[in-house]
Amino acid sequence: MNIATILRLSLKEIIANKLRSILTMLGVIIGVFSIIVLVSIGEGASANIKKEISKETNLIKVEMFPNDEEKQMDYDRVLGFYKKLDIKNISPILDQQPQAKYKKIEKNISLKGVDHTYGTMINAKLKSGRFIAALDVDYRKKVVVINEKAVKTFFKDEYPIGKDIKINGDDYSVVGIIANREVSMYERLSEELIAPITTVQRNFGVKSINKVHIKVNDKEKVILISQKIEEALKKFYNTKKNKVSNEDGVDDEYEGYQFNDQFYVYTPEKEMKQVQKMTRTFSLMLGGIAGISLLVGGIGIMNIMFVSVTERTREIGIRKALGAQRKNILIQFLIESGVVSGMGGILGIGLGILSNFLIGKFSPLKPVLNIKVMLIAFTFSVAVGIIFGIYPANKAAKLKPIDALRYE
Amino acid sequence: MNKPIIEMRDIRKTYETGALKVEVLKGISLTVENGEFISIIGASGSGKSTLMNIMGCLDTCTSGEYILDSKDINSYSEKELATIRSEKIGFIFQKFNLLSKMSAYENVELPLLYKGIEKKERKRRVLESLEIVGLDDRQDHRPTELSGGQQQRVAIARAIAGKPPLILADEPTGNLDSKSTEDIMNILLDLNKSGTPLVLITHDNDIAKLASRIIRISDGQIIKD
Ligand SMILES: Nc1ncnc2c1ncn2[C@@H]1O[C@H](COP(=O)(O)OP(=O)(O)OP(=O)(O)O)[C@@H](O)[C@H]1O
Ligand SMILES: [Mg+2]
Repeated sequence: MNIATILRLSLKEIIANKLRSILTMLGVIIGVFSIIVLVSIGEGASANIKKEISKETNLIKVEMFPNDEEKQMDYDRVLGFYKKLDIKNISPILDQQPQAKYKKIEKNISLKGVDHTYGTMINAKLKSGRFIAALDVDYRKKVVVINEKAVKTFFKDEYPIGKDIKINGDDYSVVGIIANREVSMYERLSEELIAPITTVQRNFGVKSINKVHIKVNDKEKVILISQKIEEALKKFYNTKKNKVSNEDGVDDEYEGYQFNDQFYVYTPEKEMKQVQKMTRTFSLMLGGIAGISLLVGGIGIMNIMFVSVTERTREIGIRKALGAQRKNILIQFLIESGVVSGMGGILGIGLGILSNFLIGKFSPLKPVLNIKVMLIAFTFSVAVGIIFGIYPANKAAKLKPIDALRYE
Repeated sequence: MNKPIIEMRDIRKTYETGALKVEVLKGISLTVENGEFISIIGASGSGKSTLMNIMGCLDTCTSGEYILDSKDINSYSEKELATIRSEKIGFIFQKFNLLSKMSAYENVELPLLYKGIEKKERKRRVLESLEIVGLDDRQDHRPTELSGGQQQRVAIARAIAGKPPLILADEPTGNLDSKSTEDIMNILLDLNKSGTPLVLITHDNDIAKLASRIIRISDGQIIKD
């Protein structure tokens, strides 16, 4: 008895019991569907970040958080510190997380104190108005550039430019709107407010800065320069003293980052590695979820296959009376469960593709689906059907012809 | 030269239901020559079907010797028995036992698939068998779309499609009216005339008389041959 005939017969069987087949497939459908959607979202997000990172191949980011008050860097000290290096642009940044308030709306936001170089440094897309200018910094103007998310949160339908928004007790006049920046899959898109660094320093009573973005002239030199920065910072912070705190086990926690107690130096390459590692972890987690849901699907299939074997005991008896060998019956039921779960897989993939499309259209996420994932998901679903079909199929194959024929 | 198709010696069959042992066949010895037509009659519960199931290798006996077409069946494994069922026997049941989700054509084709006969030959034999039973115009009908008599004719076509050297029929007309019974018996008689040995169980004395030999069974024993 050839495979094509058995396939045709089992398809018939499945179509004849439509509702039951779909219910049987449900576990597999949901399992495959969730793999497809989650993996696609993950891939989409990491592709996005990778794209963002590779756009900025000559950007180095430094974060500083000295233990010692004396080691705080102020604006001039930072500029002096990096002057010796072969760099194109440098933007000192002061990060704060205060509440902002407009009329009745109050929310925690991310406030960045920057100078006029920051806009070009991050390739900010200005939607309207203007960016922070050198004069704003010089005169400590209370002006602020906000992103579209902040516009949505605070201003709704109002036109924001010219309006005052209250941050830490001071009124800042909105002068510009920038596009939301790409966010990674691990952080939420937040309301971003950008003001002159001098204004923020005075408002919050700090003299220091805590971040520096550096653009390097030559892409090839990114690693070299980042190493130089690290060495200089190590010397500056006197790392020997840090050894004590390093024993907390914080060091080397994150592979790919130069993690030191008092500063991080991020390069595009390190960030890429980090994203890849996170993606791997994410995929592994998804694999686990998918495995569990497919397992549940498999148990569902096994259950129904037992019912099917019992229901069709007479049929099995007739087939055996007509000369069917054990292996014919075994293969028939295995193919049936494989086809059921395979169809579940195909439906799951179909649903996945559909919802990827909808997600891409109606949400900020951009899922990316690759053929490999679909093939793996499909193969897995068929395998689950066959594996969980073995037990019931074997039960069918072992029936004695006379017992099966007599079964009512 | 012409060896008997069936040789049974002292066949016994005991059923064990819990602690209770029931001997249903109490030493049956029987020889069926090639080309013979034998009918088996007897009261309900006398063990006719049990005997026929053993003949058809659907069941095994508890003790005794069974030689089918010169082969000692008792020593055969489950796998070899399946091959015997496929190669040697055409079974016709009282309840037709057609597969309800398949067309007449597919039902007749089934034993040929298990026999591993290639497609073109399969088609030829299915059509030939359906023609013999006069149903070549009903190939695509499902069993539910056929009358009882027609269903049994499909079952006969299925039994003969593989050209088995022995045909066993357990009350093939038990569920049919007199007209259909006549049709079925004519087909079976024709088959037997062309050389295939036939063993038939019946309750109907008129049908039994059509056979060249009548065997009467009572309480698991042959009382008249
Ligand atoms: N699986 C079984 N377990 C126990 N007893 C059985 C079993 N199968 C059949 N019997 C018993 O064996 C006896 C013979 O049954 P069998 O079916 O051979 O009778 P039969 O002659 O074909 O009767 P009928 O003419 O009604 O078909 C019966 O008494 C029946 O109860
Ligand atoms: Mg009977």
